Amino acid sequence: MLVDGKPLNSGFQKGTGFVQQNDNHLPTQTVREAIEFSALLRQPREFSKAQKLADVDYIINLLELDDLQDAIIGFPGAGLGVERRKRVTIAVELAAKPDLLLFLDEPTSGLDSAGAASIVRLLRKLANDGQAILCTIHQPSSLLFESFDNLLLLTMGGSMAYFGKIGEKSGRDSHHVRAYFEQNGAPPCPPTANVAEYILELTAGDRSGTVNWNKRWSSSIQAASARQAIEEIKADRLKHPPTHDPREEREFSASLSTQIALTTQRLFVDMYRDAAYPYGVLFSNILVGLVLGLAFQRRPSCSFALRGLLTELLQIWGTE
Amino acid sequence: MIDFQNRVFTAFIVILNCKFLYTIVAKVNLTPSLVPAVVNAIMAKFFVVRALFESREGPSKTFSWFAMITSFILTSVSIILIFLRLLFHAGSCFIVTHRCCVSDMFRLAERLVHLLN
Repeated sequence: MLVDGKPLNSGFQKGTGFVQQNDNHLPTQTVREAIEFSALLRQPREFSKAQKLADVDYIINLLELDDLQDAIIGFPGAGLGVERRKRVTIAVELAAKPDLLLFLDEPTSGLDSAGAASIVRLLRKLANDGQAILCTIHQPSSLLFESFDNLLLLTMGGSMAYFGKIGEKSGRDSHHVRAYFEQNGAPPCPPTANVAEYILELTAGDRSGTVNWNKRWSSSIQAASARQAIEEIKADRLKHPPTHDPREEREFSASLSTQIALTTQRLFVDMYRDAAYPYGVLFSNILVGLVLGLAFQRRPSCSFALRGLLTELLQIWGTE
Repeated sequence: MIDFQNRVFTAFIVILNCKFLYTIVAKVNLTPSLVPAVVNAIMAKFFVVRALFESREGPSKTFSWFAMITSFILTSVSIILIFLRLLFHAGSCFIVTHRCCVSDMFRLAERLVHLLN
């Protein structure tokens, strides 16, 4: 894999965001706190704090989280719903300023059709805003499918069956994909059919027949033009002078003191909101104090007796 | 009598520590003890934050393992210090304001029981 014609370096990791399929968040954080935490720790330390917080405001607005920003994220089932949690996950990754790419691992899995449509609409909004998005998706409806610009279709075993534009204009049709498969010997796709289903049945389903779509793709005109386009882009990008990215030099974007300050602050807030642990400490302190007090009650308080008590204490610790 | 007290106390400490050790090492409750609520609270908090670190925040280089452990130490120590002060204060207030001896307390308790009956 190449970025701007050069192999990947450690800056790539910081230039990308990865939206995981299972939305992992600290249950006691609010939406705004989670996004701010990510922005303050993952954006380059050259940016000022005000700049990072302004970014957070912008992202909250972009992902339509304004009315949810002070809601506690909670556990699945007791807190934000699945679709809202997904939006928070996307916001947390966006807060890290992924200027290269935003990966999404099956963002619509586990969502109802309205939720899936809402997530894809937001992704479309982000893409129109200039964010590069790479997304894996299974069994999309035609509405979702046509929202994307390009399609990389993988057959069983991970070999490529199609790579290129879905339609002339995103959100309108899937003319290019349909034309490619029809030209290459597939039965014609009815105009009312879901093109995503049509190509999945062709390449992976029962109707795949004997056609090897991977081989057919490798020898097609579309593949040749795609390869040529990639070569042209690579040559074009190599002409640019190499840019210096300060993010490559560091393992963590934020300094160690910032990391410790922010994680400690987060943990204090967490302990305050979910106080089982502090209460546990208080309870055990009282209990241990009571037991110690009872075990050594009515001891004479002269120094000789105190020394005896100390040796006894040591003996007890020794027998642990 | 005091020897007996020490033995009881030692048994208590052993059970308490075994509980801690076995829960941390084997992740199963092997010994019955007085403190499952306490241990579970501590373990649950740590596991949630560690799971989050291992799945998302560690790989994305949000913060280091060192920062995470330091934050746990700092919060735990300050919580202990706060409660230490609180309990010490409560204890000293109790001693200063109650100048009666133990037998007085017993008499008081007897009177209370009598009243309740």
